[in-house]
Amino acid sequence: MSDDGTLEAAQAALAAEHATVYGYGVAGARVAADRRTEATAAYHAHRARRDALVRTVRDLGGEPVAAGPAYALPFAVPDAASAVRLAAVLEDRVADVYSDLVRAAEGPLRRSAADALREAAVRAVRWRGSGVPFPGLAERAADGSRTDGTGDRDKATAGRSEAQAGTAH
Amino acid sequence: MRRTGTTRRGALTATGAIAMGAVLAGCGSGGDDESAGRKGSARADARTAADRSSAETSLRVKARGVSTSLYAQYEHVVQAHPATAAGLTPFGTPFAPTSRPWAPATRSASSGPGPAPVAAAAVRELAAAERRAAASHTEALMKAPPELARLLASVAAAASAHAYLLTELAKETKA
Repeated sequence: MSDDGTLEAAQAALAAEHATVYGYGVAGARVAADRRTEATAAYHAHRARRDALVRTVRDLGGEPVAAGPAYALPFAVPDAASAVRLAAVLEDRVADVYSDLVRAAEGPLRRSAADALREAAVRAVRWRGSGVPFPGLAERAADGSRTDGTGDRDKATAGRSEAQAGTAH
Repeated sequence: MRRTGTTRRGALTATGAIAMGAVLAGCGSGGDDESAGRKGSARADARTAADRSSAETSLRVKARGVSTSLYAQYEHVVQAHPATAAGLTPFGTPFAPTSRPWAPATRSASSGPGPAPVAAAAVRELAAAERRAAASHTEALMKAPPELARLLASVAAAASAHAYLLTELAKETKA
C-alpha cells in the first residue's frame, strides 16, 4: 500500500476520532449514573487514540486534520437510552475506519489499528448488549444487524450540529 | 450484572464463527489479491504473486481452522450443558436440539433448576477460547495482504467482543 493510502486512512481515522470524542461529550452527559464511568473511560480512550493519530499523521508527513467545531448527531439524544445508542453507533463508526487503516498500514501502525478496532468492537457490545458478526466491515453489515443509521458514516464527520450540549474538547 | 437480559440476547457468538468460516472459505482461492502484482505481469512478478498467494491461502486455512475448532467447542458446551443453548444462540438454528423446539431465553431463565456452576465454567472456557482466537487472528493479520488483514482484524474484533459477552454470560449463569 502506498504511503499516500496510509496517510489518507490515518487522516480518516483521525477525523473519526475527533467526531467520536465530540459524540462522547454528548453521550457522556446523558447516560445514566451507573454507566457514567464507562462513558468517561471510553471518552478518554478515544482522546488517547486521537492524540496518537495526530502523531502518526505527522510522522507520515501530513498535516493532521482538525476537529470540526461541531458534528451532526445521527439522531436526537434527549435521554439516557438514546445516549447509550449513540455511544454504540460511535463505536461502530470508528471501527469502520480502523478496518480501513488496518488494510492501508503495515507493521506497528497496522497492529495499533487492529487493537483499536478490537477495543471499539468490545465497547460497542458493552453499550448495545449484542455484537455484530463483522465489526468494522460496513459492507458486511447490510443484513440489518446494525441499526441507527450507521450505514452512512459520513454524517459523523461533517455538518453542523443541532446538539444542545457536549463541548467535548 | 446490570444488563441481565441484554447479555443473553446478545451472545450471537457462534453465528459469527460460522459466518467467518464461510467468508474465509469463500474467497480462499486467491480471488482478492488484486492489491498486488496484477499490473506488472512479468514472469518474476507472477512467481512472487504465486508465493504470496500460497502464503495467503495458508493464512486463510489456519484462520478457518481456528474458527472451526471454536465452533466445535460451542457445540460441545451446548451438548454437555443444554441450558446454555439459549444464551449461546439467541436466534436459533445452529445448536437447537433437533428433537425439541427452541426454548426462548425468557423461559429458560425462569424455569428449571438453572444451569449448574459447571456450565458457567464451560462458558468461561469458551470465553478463553475466543480470546485465544482473537490473539491468533491478530497475529495472522500482521503477515496478511491488505484485504485479508482487514477481514482478520474484523474477525479478531468479533472474537474479543464474544469473549466479553461470554464472560458476562458466565456471571449470569453462575448467579
